[in-house]
Amino acid sequence: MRRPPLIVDGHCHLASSRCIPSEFFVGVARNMARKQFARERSGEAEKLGRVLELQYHDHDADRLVRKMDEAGIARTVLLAPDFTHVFKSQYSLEDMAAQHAAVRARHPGRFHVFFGVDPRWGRSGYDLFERVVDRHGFEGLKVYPPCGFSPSDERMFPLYEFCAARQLPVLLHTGPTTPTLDFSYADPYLIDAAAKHFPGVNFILAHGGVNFVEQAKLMCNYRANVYLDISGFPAAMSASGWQQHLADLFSQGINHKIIFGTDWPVFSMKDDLAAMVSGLLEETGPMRSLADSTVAAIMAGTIGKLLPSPSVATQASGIGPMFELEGEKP
Amino acid sequence: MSAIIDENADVEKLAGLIRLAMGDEPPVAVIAAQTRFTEDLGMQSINRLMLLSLLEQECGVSLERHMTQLVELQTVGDTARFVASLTAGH
Repeated sequence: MRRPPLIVDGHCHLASSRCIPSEFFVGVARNMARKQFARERSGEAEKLGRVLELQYHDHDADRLVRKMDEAGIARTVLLAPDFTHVFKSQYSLEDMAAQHAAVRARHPGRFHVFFGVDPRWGRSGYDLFERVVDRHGFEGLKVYPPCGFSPSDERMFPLYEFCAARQLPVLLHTGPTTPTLDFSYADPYLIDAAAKHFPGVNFILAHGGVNFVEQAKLMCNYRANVYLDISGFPAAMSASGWQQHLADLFSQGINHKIIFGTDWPVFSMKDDLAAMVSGLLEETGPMRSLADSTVAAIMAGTIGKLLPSPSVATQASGIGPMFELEGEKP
Repeated sequence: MSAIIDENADVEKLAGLIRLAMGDEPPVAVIAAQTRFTEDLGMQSINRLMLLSLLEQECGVSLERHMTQLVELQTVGDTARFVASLTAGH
Protein backbone atom coordinates (compact mmCIF):
# COMPACT_ATOMS: atom_id res chain seq x y z
CA MET A 1 0.00 0.00 0.00
CA ARG A 2 1.27 3.47 -0.85
CA ARG A 3 1.75 5.76 2.10
CA PRO A 4 -0.66 8.70 2.08
CA PRO A 5 0.92 12.05 1.19
CA LEU A 6 0.29 13.39 4.67
CA ILE A 7 -0.19 11.82 8.10
CA VAL A 8 -1.73 13.81 10.96
CA ASP A 9 -2.17 12.19 14.36
CA GLY A 10 -5.59 13.33 15.55
CA HIS A 11 -5.25 12.14 19.14
CA CYS A 12 -2.10 12.48 21.19
CA HIS A 13 -0.93 13.81 24.55
CA LEU A 14 2.18 15.42 25.90
CA ALA A 15 4.06 12.78 27.88
CA SER A 16 4.38 15.19 30.75
CA SER A 17 3.59 14.48 34.37
CA ARG A 18 2.79 18.19 34.71
CA CYS A 19 -0.37 17.61 32.67
CA ILE A 20 -1.58 14.37 34.24
CA PRO A 21 -2.04 14.13 38.03
CA SER A 22 -0.53 11.27 40.06
CA GLU A 23 -3.96 9.94 41.01
CA PHE A 24 -4.59 9.21 37.35
CA PHE A 25 -1.44 7.08 37.13
CA VAL A 26 -2.11 5.24 40.38
CA GLY A 27 -5.57 4.24 39.16
CA VAL A 28 -4.15 2.90 35.92
CA ALA A 29 -1.40 1.08 37.79
CA ARG A 30 -3.86 -0.46 40.25
CA ASN A 31 -5.83 -1.97 37.40
CA MET A 32 -2.67 -3.14 35.65
CA ALA A 33 -1.41 -4.76 38.82
CA ARG A 34 -4.50 -6.95 38.93
CA LYS A 35 -3.24 -8.66 35.81
CA GLN A 36 -0.25 -9.83 37.82
CA PHE A 37 -1.73 -10.34 41.26
CA ALA A 38 -5.24 -11.57 42.05
CA ARG A 39 -5.46 -9.43 45.16
CA GLU A 40 -4.32 -5.91 45.77
CA ARG A 41 -0.89 -5.92 47.39
CA SER A 42 -0.07 -3.04 49.63
CA GLY A 43 2.02 -0.41 47.88
CA GLU A 44 2.16 -2.27 44.55
CA ALA A 45 -0.08 0.17 42.65
CA GLU A 46 1.81 3.16 44.03
CA LYS A 47 5.11 1.56 43.04
CA LEU A 48 3.96 0.84 39.48
CA GLY A 49 2.27 4.23 39.27
CA ARG A 50 5.57 5.89 40.07
CA VAL A 51 7.37 3.93 37.32
CA LEU A 52 4.57 4.81 34.91
CA GLU A 53 4.77 8.47 35.82
CA LEU A 54 8.54 8.51 35.34
CA GLN A 55 7.98 7.92 31.63
CA TYR A 56 6.08 11.19 31.44
CA HIS A 57 9.04 13.55 31.48
CA ASP A 58 9.00 14.68 27.85
CA HIS A 59 7.82 18.11 28.94
CA ASP A 60 8.93 19.95 25.79
CA ALA A 61 7.91 17.20 23.33
CA ASP A 62 11.40 16.69 21.91
CA ARG A 63 11.05 12.92 22.19
CA LEU A 64 7.56 13.03 20.71
CA VAL A 65 8.77 15.01 17.69
CA ARG A 66 11.57 12.47 17.20
CA LYS A 67 9.00 9.67 17.26
CA MET A 68 6.72 11.58 14.86
CA ASP A 69 9.62 11.98 12.44
CA GLU A 70 10.42 8.25 12.63
CA ALA A 71 6.77 7.45 11.90
CA GLY A 72 6.35 10.03 9.12
CA ILE A 73 3.74 11.98 11.08
CA ALA A 74 3.75 15.59 9.91
CA ARG A 75 1.50 17.12 12.55
CA THR A 76 -0.20 16.04 15.74
CA VAL A 77 -3.21 17.16 17.73
CA LEU A 78 -2.20 17.47 21.38
CA LEU A 79 -5.11 16.98 23.77
CA ALA A 80 -4.97 18.68 27.14
CA PRO A 81 -7.83 17.42 29.33
CA ASP A 82 -8.75 19.31 32.48
CA PHE A 83 -8.43 17.03 35.52
CA THR A 84 -8.00 19.88 37.97
CA HIS A 85 -11.61 19.75 39.19
CA VAL A 86 -11.27 16.16 40.40
CA PHE A 87 -7.56 15.56 41.06
CA LYS A 88 -5.08 17.61 43.03
CA SER A 89 -2.24 18.96 40.95
CA GLN A 90 0.58 21.34 41.63
CA TYR A 91 0.11 22.73 38.12
CA SER A 92 -2.85 24.94 37.20
CA LEU A 93 -4.80 25.04 33.95
CA GLU A 94 -2.95 28.24 33.12
CA ASP A 95 0.35 26.39 33.61
CA MET A 96 -0.84 23.64 31.29
CA ALA A 97 -1.89 26.16 28.63
CA ALA A 98 1.47 27.90 28.86
CA GLN A 99 3.30 24.59 28.56
CA HIS A 100 1.38 23.60 25.42
CA ALA A 101 1.93 27.04 23.92
CA ALA A 102 5.65 26.71 24.62
CA VAL A 103 5.72 23.31 22.92
CA ARG A 104 4.05 24.81 19.84
CA ALA A 105 6.58 27.61 19.77
CA ARG A 106 9.48 25.18 20.20
CA HIS A 107 8.28 22.97 17.34
CA PRO A 108 6.63 25.32 14.82
CA GLY A 109 4.09 23.78 12.50
CA ARG A 110 4.03 20.41 14.26
CA PHE A 111 1.22 20.71 16.80
CA HIS A 112 -2.41 21.66 17.13
CA VAL A 113 -3.83 21.91 20.65
CA PHE A 114 -7.33 21.04 21.87
CA PHE A 115 -7.61 22.43 25.36
CA GLY A 116 -9.92 21.18 28.13
CA VAL A 117 -12.04 23.06 30.64
CA ASP A 118 -14.26 21.36 33.20
CA PRO A 119 -17.73 22.98 32.92
CA ARG A 120 -17.99 23.20 36.71
CA TRP A 121 -15.45 26.02 36.68
CA GLY A 122 -18.25 28.14 35.22
CA ARG A 123 -17.42 31.66 34.16
CA SER A 124 -13.75 31.45 35.04
CA GLY A 125 -13.35 28.30 32.94
CA TYR A 126 -15.12 29.89 29.99
CA ASP A 127 -12.94 32.97 30.20
CA LEU A 128 -9.83 30.85 30.39
CA PHE A 129 -10.81 28.86 27.30
CA GLU A 130 -11.55 32.03 25.36
CA ARG A 131 -8.21 33.43 26.48
CA VAL A 132 -6.13 30.43 25.41
CA VAL A 133 -7.82 30.35 22.01
CA ASP A 134 -7.16 34.05 21.49
CA ARG A 135 -3.71 34.18 23.01
CA HIS A 136 -2.23 30.85 21.99
CA GLY A 137 -4.29 29.94 18.94
CA PHE A 138 -5.51 26.64 20.39
CA GLU A 139 -7.78 24.99 17.87
CA GLY A 140 -10.32 22.85 19.69
CA LEU A 141 -12.01 21.89 22.94
CA LYS A 142 -11.15 18.68 24.77
CA VAL A 143 -13.94 17.32 26.99
CA TYR A 144 -13.38 14.63 29.62
CA PRO A 145 -16.82 13.47 30.82
CA PRO A 146 -15.50 10.71 33.15
CA CYS A 147 -14.47 13.54 35.46
CA GLY A 148 -18.15 13.51 36.42
CA PHE A 149 -20.45 15.27 33.95
CA SER A 150 -22.38 14.51 30.80
CA PRO A 151 -21.03 16.04 27.59
CA SER A 152 -24.61 17.24 27.01
CA ASP A 153 -24.76 18.92 30.42
CA GLU A 154 -26.09 22.43 29.79
CA ARG A 155 -23.11 23.83 31.67
CA MET A 156 -21.11 22.83 28.58
CA PHE A 157 -23.32 24.86 26.24
CA PRO A 158 -21.55 28.22 26.56
CA LEU A 159 -18.33 26.50 25.56
CA TYR A 160 -20.02 24.81 22.61
CA GLU A 161 -21.53 28.12 21.60
CA PHE A 162 -18.06 29.63 21.58
CA CYS A 163 -16.77 26.67 19.53
CA ALA A 164 -19.60 27.18 17.03
CA ALA A 165 -18.68 30.84 16.60
CA ARG A 166 -14.99 30.07 16.15
CA GLN A 167 -15.51 26.85 14.15
CA LEU A 168 -13.57 24.86 16.72
CA PRO A 169 -14.05 21.08 16.88
CA VAL A 170 -14.89 19.40 20.18
CA LEU A 171 -13.24 16.09 21.04
CA LEU A 172 -14.69 14.11 23.93
CA HIS A 173 -13.37 11.03 25.65
CA THR A 174 -15.50 7.89 25.36
CA GLY A 175 -14.97 4.49 26.96
CA PRO A 176 -13.08 3.38 30.04
CA THR A 177 -10.26 5.37 31.57
CA THR A 178 -8.40 5.34 34.86
CA PRO A 179 -10.55 3.52 37.44
CA THR A 180 -10.35 6.53 39.73
CA LEU A 181 -12.88 8.24 37.40
CA ASP A 182 -16.52 7.55 36.51
CA PHE A 183 -17.08 5.39 33.41
CA SER A 184 -20.84 6.04 33.33
CA TYR A 185 -20.33 9.38 31.58
CA ALA A 186 -18.19 7.83 28.87
CA ASP A 187 -21.00 6.55 26.62
CA PRO A 188 -20.98 7.98 23.06
CA TYR A 189 -24.78 8.41 23.11
CA LEU A 190 -24.42 11.08 25.80
CA ILE A 191 -23.26 13.55 23.16
CA ASP A 192 -26.54 13.26 21.24
CA ALA A 193 -28.41 16.17 22.87
CA ALA A 194 -25.47 18.53 22.42
CA ALA A 195 -24.83 17.38 18.85
CA LYS A 196 -28.50 18.00 18.03
CA HIS A 197 -28.49 21.39 19.74
CA PHE A 198 -25.25 22.55 18.09
CA PRO A 199 -25.38 21.34 14.48
CA GLY A 200 -22.62 23.80 13.63
CA VAL A 201 -20.14 22.17 15.99
CA ASN A 202 -18.23 19.06 14.94
CA PHE A 203 -17.90 16.52 17.75
CA ILE A 204 -15.24 13.79 17.69
CA LEU A 205 -15.79 10.65 19.76
CA ALA A 206 -12.31 9.87 21.05
CA HIS A 207 -11.62 6.10 20.90
CA GLY A 208 -15.01 5.67 19.19
CA GLY A 209 -13.50 3.12 16.82
CA VAL A 210 -12.33 1.05 19.78
CA ASN A 211 -14.78 1.52 22.69
CA PHE A 212 -18.60 1.31 22.50
CA VAL A 213 -18.10 0.92 18.77
CA GLU A 214 -21.72 0.09 17.95
CA GLN A 215 -22.97 3.31 19.55
CA ALA A 216 -20.14 5.39 18.11
CA LYS A 217 -20.62 4.25 14.54
CA LEU A 218 -24.40 4.75 14.74
CA MET A 219 -23.84 8.28 15.99
CA CYS A 220 -21.43 8.90 13.11
CA ASN A 221 -23.79 7.45 10.55
CA TYR A 222 -26.87 9.38 11.65
CA ARG A 223 -25.56 12.61 13.16
CA ALA A 224 -23.93 14.72 10.47
CA ASN A 225 -21.67 16.52 12.94
CA VAL A 226 -20.34 13.50 14.85
CA TYR A 227 -17.00 11.82 14.02
CA LEU A 228 -14.88 9.18 15.72
CA ASP A 229 -11.19 8.47 16.08
CA ILE A 230 -9.44 5.12 16.26
CA SER A 231 -6.95 6.02 18.98
CA GLY A 232 -6.20 3.12 21.27
CA PHE A 233 -6.53 0.61 18.42
CA PRO A 234 -3.65 -1.63 19.57
CA ALA A 235 -5.73 -2.38 22.69
CA ALA A 236 -9.03 -3.10 20.91
CA MET A 237 -10.75 -5.98 22.69
CA SER A 238 -11.48 -8.26 19.76
CA ALA A 239 -11.08 -12.00 19.45
CA SER A 240 -9.95 -11.51 15.86
CA GLY A 241 -7.29 -8.93 16.73
CA TRP A 242 -7.16 -5.17 16.23
CA GLN A 243 -6.34 -5.44 12.53
CA GLN A 244 -9.55 -7.32 11.72
CA HIS A 245 -11.49 -5.14 14.14
CA LEU A 246 -10.45 -2.04 12.18
CA ALA A 247 -10.96 -3.74 8.81
CA ASP A 248 -14.56 -4.39 9.88
CA LEU A 249 -14.96 -0.76 10.98
CA PHE A 250 -13.60 0.47 7.65
CA SER A 251 -16.21 -1.54 5.75
CA GLN A 252 -19.29 0.14 7.23
CA GLY A 253 -19.71 3.20 5.06
CA ILE A 254 -18.53 5.79 7.57
CA ASN A 255 -14.92 6.23 6.50
CA HIS A 256 -15.54 9.92 5.86
CA LYS A 257 -16.12 10.18 9.65
CA ILE A 258 -13.04 8.26 10.82
CA ILE A 259 -9.88 9.96 12.09
CA PHE A 260 -6.49 8.39 12.71
CA GLY A 261 -5.06 8.79 16.21
CA THR A 262 -2.43 7.06 18.33
CA ASP A 263 -3.18 8.12 21.91
CA TRP A 264 0.58 8.45 22.46
CA PRO A 265 2.14 8.00 25.01
CA VAL A 266 -0.37 5.48 26.35
CA PHE A 267 1.05 2.60 24.33
CA SER A 268 4.64 3.78 24.20
CA MET A 269 5.87 0.84 26.28
CA LYS A 270 4.45 -1.58 23.74
CA ASP A 271 4.19 0.09 20.35
CA ASP A 272 6.22 2.95 18.94
CA LEU A 273 4.49 5.49 16.72
CA ALA A 274 6.34 4.06 13.71
CA ALA A 275 5.11 0.56 14.54
CA MET A 276 1.54 1.80 14.91
CA VAL A 277 1.57 3.62 11.56
CA SER A 278 3.26 0.69 9.81
CA GLY A 279 0.74 -1.72 11.28
CA LEU A 280 -2.10 0.30 9.78
CA LEU A 281 -0.53 0.81 6.35
CA GLU A 282 1.20 -2.53 5.70
CA GLU A 283 0.09 -4.62 2.71
CA THR A 284 -1.84 -7.07 4.88
CA GLY A 285 -3.11 -4.38 7.27
CA PRO A 286 -6.66 -3.23 7.97
CA MET A 287 -6.58 -0.55 5.24
CA ARG A 288 -5.60 -2.96 2.47
CA SER A 289 -8.99 -2.77 0.70
CA LEU A 290 -9.39 0.99 0.87
CA ALA A 291 -8.88 3.44 -2.00
CA ASP A 292 -5.87 5.73 -1.67
CA SER A 293 -8.18 8.71 -1.29
CA THR A 294 -9.97 7.05 1.64
CA VAL A 295 -6.69 6.22 3.36
CA ALA A 296 -5.57 9.81 2.85
CA ALA A 297 -8.78 11.09 4.42
CA ILE A 298 -8.54 8.85 7.49
CA MET A 299 -4.84 9.51 8.02
CA ALA A 300 -5.02 13.30 7.65
CA GLY A 301 -7.70 14.78 5.40
CA THR A 302 -10.72 14.60 7.69
CA ILE A 303 -9.09 16.07 10.79
CA GLY A 304 -7.63 18.75 8.52
CA LYS A 305 -11.12 19.74 7.41
CA LEU A 306 -12.35 19.94 11.00
CA LEU A 307 -9.59 22.27 12.17
CA PRO A 308 -10.53 25.95 12.02
CA SER A 309 -9.12 28.27 9.46
CA PRO A 310 -6.67 30.60 11.23
CA SER A 311 -8.67 33.73 10.46
CA VAL A 312 -11.81 32.40 12.16
CA ALA A 313 -10.11 30.80 15.15
CA THR A 314 -8.20 33.91 16.14
CA GLN A 315 -10.84 36.53 15.37
CA ALA A 316 -11.36 39.22 17.98
CA SER A 317 -13.26 38.09 21.03
CA GLY A 318 -16.48 39.68 22.22
CA ILE A 319 -18.96 36.99 21.30
CA GLY A 320 -20.18 36.56 24.87
CA PRO A 321 -22.08 33.47 25.95
CA MET A 322 -25.84 33.38 25.42
CA PHE A 323 -26.15 30.63 27.99
CA GLU A 324 -26.01 31.36 31.67
CA LEU A 325 -22.70 30.51 33.29
CA GLU A 326 -22.22 29.32 36.84
CA GLY A 327 -20.76 32.03 39.00
CA GLU A 328 -22.39 34.73 36.90
CA LYS A 329 -25.11 37.04 38.19
CA PRO A 330 -28.48 36.47 36.51
CA MET B 1 36.62 -13.86 26.05
CA SER B 2 35.87 -12.68 29.57
CA ALA B 3 33.70 -9.90 28.12
CA ILE B 4 31.58 -12.51 26.32
CA ILE B 5 31.20 -14.55 29.48
CA ASP B 6 30.20 -11.40 31.41
CA GLU B 7 27.65 -10.45 28.78
CA ASN B 8 26.13 -13.90 28.88
CA ALA B 9 25.88 -13.63 32.64
CA ASP B 10 24.23 -10.21 32.34
CA VAL B 11 21.73 -11.56 29.83
CA GLU B 12 21.02 -14.55 32.04
CA LYS B 13 20.41 -12.32 35.05
CA LEU B 14 18.10 -10.09 33.00
CA ALA B 15 16.28 -13.17 31.68
CA GLY B 16 15.51 -14.14 35.26
CA LEU B 17 14.01 -10.71 35.92
CA ILE B 18 11.99 -10.90 32.70
CA ARG B 19 10.50 -14.22 33.81
CA LEU B 20 9.51 -12.60 37.10
CA ALA B 21 8.04 -9.62 35.26
CA MET B 22 6.01 -11.91 33.01
CA GLY B 23 4.27 -13.35 36.08
CA ASP B 24 1.66 -15.91 35.11
CA GLU B 25 2.19 -15.50 31.38
CA PRO B 26 3.24 -18.70 29.56
CA PRO B 27 6.94 -19.25 30.29
CA VAL B 28 9.38 -18.26 27.57
CA ALA B 29 11.72 -21.08 26.60
CA VAL B 30 14.69 -19.10 25.31
CA ILE B 31 15.71 -15.57 26.17
CA ALA B 32 18.85 -14.49 24.33
CA ALA B 33 20.66 -11.22 23.72
CA GLN B 34 18.79 -10.58 20.47
CA THR B 35 15.35 -11.34 21.93
CA ARG B 36 12.96 -8.40 21.55
CA PHE B 37 10.62 -7.44 24.38
CA THR B 38 7.47 -6.82 22.35
CA GLU B 39 7.77 -8.83 19.16
CA ASP B 40 9.43 -11.97 20.60
CA LEU B 41 8.32 -12.03 24.22
CA GLY B 42 4.95 -10.38 23.75
CA MET B 43 5.55 -8.18 26.78
CA GLN B 44 2.67 -5.86 27.58
CA SER B 45 2.97 -2.49 29.31
CA ILE B 46 2.49 -4.08 32.73
CA ASN B 47 5.36 -6.50 32.08
CA ARG B 48 7.65 -3.68 30.99
CA LEU B 49 6.75 -1.66 34.07
CA MET B 50 7.40 -4.65 36.31
CA LEU B 51 10.77 -5.21 34.64
CA LEU B 52 11.77 -1.59 35.13
CA SER B 53 10.77 -1.82 38.76
CA LEU B 54 12.84 -5.00 39.15
CA LEU B 55 15.86 -3.39 37.49
CA GLU B 56 15.68 -0.67 40.08
CA GLN B 57 15.19 -3.08 42.94
CA GLU B 58 17.65 -5.81 41.96
CA CYS B 59 20.28 -3.94 39.96
CA GLY B 60 20.20 -0.53 41.60
CA VAL B 61 19.32 1.28 38.38
CA SER B 62 18.06 4.81 39.05
CA LEU B 63 14.83 5.14 37.09
CA GLU B 64 14.75 8.85 37.83
CA ARG B 65 18.02 9.27 35.94
CA HIS B 66 17.81 6.62 33.25
CA MET B 67 14.16 6.09 32.34
CA THR B 68 14.51 7.96 29.05
CA GLN B 69 17.23 5.60 27.83
CA LEU B 70 15.65 2.44 29.26
CA VAL B 71 12.33 2.82 27.45
CA GLU B 72 14.13 3.14 24.13
CA LEU B 73 15.87 -0.24 24.49
CA GLN B 74 14.08 -2.95 22.55
CA THR B 75 16.21 -6.07 23.09
CA VAL B 76 17.45 -8.04 26.06
CA GLY B 77 21.09 -7.67 25.01
CA ASP B 78 20.93 -3.89 24.64
CA THR B 79 19.29 -3.61 28.05
CA ALA B 80 21.79 -5.95 29.69
CA ARG B 81 24.69 -3.95 28.23
CA PHE B 82 23.16 -0.68 29.35
CA VAL B 83 22.62 -1.92 32.91
CA ALA B 84 26.15 -3.37 32.96
CA SER B 85 27.60 -0.04 31.82
CA LEU B 86 25.82 1.70 34.68
CA THR B 87 27.11 -0.84 37.15
CA ALA B 88 30.63 -0.39 35.79
CA GLY B 89 30.26 3.33 36.20
CA HIS B 90 30.69 4.14 32.51
